[in-house]
Amino acid sequence: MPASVLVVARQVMREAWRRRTLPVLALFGCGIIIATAFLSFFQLGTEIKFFKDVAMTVIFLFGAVATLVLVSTQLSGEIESRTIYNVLSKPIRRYELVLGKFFGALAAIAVAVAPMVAILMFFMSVDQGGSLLEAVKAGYMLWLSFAVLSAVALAIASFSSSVVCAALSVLVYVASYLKGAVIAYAGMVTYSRLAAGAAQTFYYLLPNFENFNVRTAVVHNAVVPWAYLFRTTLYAAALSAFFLYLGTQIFEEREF
Amino acid sequence: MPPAISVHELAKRYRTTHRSDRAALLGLTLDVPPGEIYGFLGPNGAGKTTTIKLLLGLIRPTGGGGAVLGHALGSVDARRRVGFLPESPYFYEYLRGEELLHYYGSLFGLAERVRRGRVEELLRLVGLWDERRLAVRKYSRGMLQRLGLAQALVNDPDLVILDEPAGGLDPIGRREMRDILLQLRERGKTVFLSSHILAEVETVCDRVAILNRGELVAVGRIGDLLAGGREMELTIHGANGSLSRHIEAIPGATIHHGTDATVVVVPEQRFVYPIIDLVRQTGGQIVALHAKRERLEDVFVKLVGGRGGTAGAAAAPAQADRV
Amino acid sequence: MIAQRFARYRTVLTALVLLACVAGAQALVDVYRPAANDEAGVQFSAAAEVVRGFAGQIRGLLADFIWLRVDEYAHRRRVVDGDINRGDDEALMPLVRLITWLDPHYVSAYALGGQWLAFHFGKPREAVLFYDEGIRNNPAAGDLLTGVAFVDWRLLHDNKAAASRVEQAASVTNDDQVRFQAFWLEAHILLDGGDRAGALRVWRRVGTMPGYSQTAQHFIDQIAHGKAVPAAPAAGSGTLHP
Repeated sequence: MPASVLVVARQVMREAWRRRTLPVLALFGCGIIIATAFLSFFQLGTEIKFFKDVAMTVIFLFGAVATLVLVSTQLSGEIESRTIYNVLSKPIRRYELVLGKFFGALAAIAVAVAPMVAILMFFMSVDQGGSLLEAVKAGYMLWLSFAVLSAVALAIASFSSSVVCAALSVLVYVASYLKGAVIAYAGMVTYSRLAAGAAQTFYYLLPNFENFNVRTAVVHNAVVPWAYLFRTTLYAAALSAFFLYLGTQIFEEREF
Repeated sequence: MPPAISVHELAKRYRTTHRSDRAALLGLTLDVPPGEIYGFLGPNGAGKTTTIKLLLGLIRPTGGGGAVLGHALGSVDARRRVGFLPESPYFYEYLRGEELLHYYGSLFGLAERVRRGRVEELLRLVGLWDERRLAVRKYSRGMLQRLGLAQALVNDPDLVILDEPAGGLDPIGRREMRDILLQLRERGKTVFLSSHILAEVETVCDRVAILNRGELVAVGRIGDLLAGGREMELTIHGANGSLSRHIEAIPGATIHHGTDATVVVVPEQRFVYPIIDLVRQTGGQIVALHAKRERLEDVFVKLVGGRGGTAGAAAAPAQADRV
Repeated sequence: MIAQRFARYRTVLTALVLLACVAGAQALVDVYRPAANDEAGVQFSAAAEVVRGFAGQIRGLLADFIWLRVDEYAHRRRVVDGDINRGDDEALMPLVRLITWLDPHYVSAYALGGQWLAFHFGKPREAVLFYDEGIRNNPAAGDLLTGVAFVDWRLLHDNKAAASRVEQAASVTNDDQVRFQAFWLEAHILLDGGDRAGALRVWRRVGTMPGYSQTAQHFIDQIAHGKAVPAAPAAGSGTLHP
């Protein structure tokens, strides 16, 4: 990896820390998870399930918000604040800048998400509420989904403002979850093979964030197969590569 | 030695709407010799910043091409040896001055040990050493400009491109900036200086190029550009009507009657002697006589013809010489 | 020339290759997807897909929140406070349905929904269908098997089917206490249907379970001597409903 990618990545991490958004989100998330752990008005049995559900949801929500806040202000933010002139006049290739932003965001998000996962694991171990390894796997899967979301956001940021970037990224995220429903409806309302084929293509080509959702397995104490973890990692890598490629191509063509 | 900057027929058109576009630069041909301070002048919208952006690869030319330090325009190899101070520099506000220079230094691949020495040297040079740990967002406009200059020099560049470097600086700051530019020249560096402050340019630059409406209207050594002025100015007390009649007969001469004195400007030295004789005969008194040397501002205004700048635009650019 | 043309389309080609990789990786993921999400074999209707799609990653938590409301109504108001005239019983089933869409492993929701359909709304056949869906999605949920057994027995008067369900409930657990409760219920259902031999068979099996031989013998003696059988449990009890 070119050294400048690492330099930019480190800079993104420092920015994430200095701007306080990520630390505050992580702290808030940890607070909610801890508070939930001490709420004991739920009946026996449901309590640990509820705790795991809340913790997983908090990790997901805060992680996703952190990702969007961080990534949508990267490329577009540099352009809007005109700091891009200084950076691009240095001997850095544009794709290196995009990759640096991507890897920096991944590292910063990992640092933000890790304490929340650790707290989830701590209370799971106290309550004997399931395998800690599965919690780590679930945390990893969520992080993979944030990686893809970062790549999507960077691709959008390569041609739009930060606000548009954040809005469009959310849209892509929601659309990804809804596509299962769209395909199900397409299957119900059409008998045409062409339409069914189109729906199937749609399924395979659009980002599928549901792949990273192993919440049910963690909550209901199932085991996420290692092979699934490996394949999902491949999927995240392919999808991120696709969006980063799109982003760098658009960014290469941009004029400042 | 090859020129530090060499562009040939460099052109840039911006698309404004679906079908129309606007020319920002029309076939600029320019060679900037190494080791000089080169002034790049022109009114707002003349294409100065566009040219700089083209040199750095921030935008792509729609015609022509060129080289910076022997490398393709905007290439990484070229940028490695170039320092750039943008107009009104913007920096990461959450960083401290020192950290900012370290960041830019590391983008040049400078090792930390090298960077540490360089950063200290530059912060002292621009007078920000005491404020090095202050967040950039707390810097004043002038301090930002100084920091901008420091970051432009962090890689010890062979070519420094400065876009309006004196903006936001107080008179002392400007003087310090001028001294730094002169030091750079002494060290054999090339400085490409885009500025509105013509007096500054006149003081420090070896050569200038004047751009108007995307076209080069004059280029050459400062001395050559200003050499065209051979006018003489006389200040006279007690002039009478016969002097006015005499002056009116000289083509290109002007006379201005003030409350205390009359000021006469004649196009050449040979017209001076008859005027002296006439003043003596009529009992007047010559109180001052000097060659009226043009300033860069005069040349500039003459060439760009005020804001509209039509004068030079149509004419062929002058080579030292108002090409 | 060819190289030039290739360069022009290189971007598009690369993007297409990457997209193909995405599709390939998705196909690889799909092989393990149901197992990883513990939703193997769960069939969702299109409506369920929409609800799940909108809820996304937070569907588990949504199910929990809806369950809190359902639980509060069904138990505290209805059972503890005896407030049975609130008039919004009908609201319960859609909520339960939502929960099972959001989380098909919400056994408590299936158990409560089946019980209410059968015993409060008087729809035992729908209740059996609902229980069956829950059992399909959660084959190891003994609660659901016991619950549907009660419906078969008490409302549909199909003692044979009920006994078979309870038998199944006993087979999905390793907890002897739970198995004992299931066998106890099975024997009772069989006895209620006049199958004394069947009931004796069940108690003999209980007798082989460590620690339960005395209890089993007690019931065997009672049946053999035609003495009073244990009182029938109330409808719905014996399940682990919330």
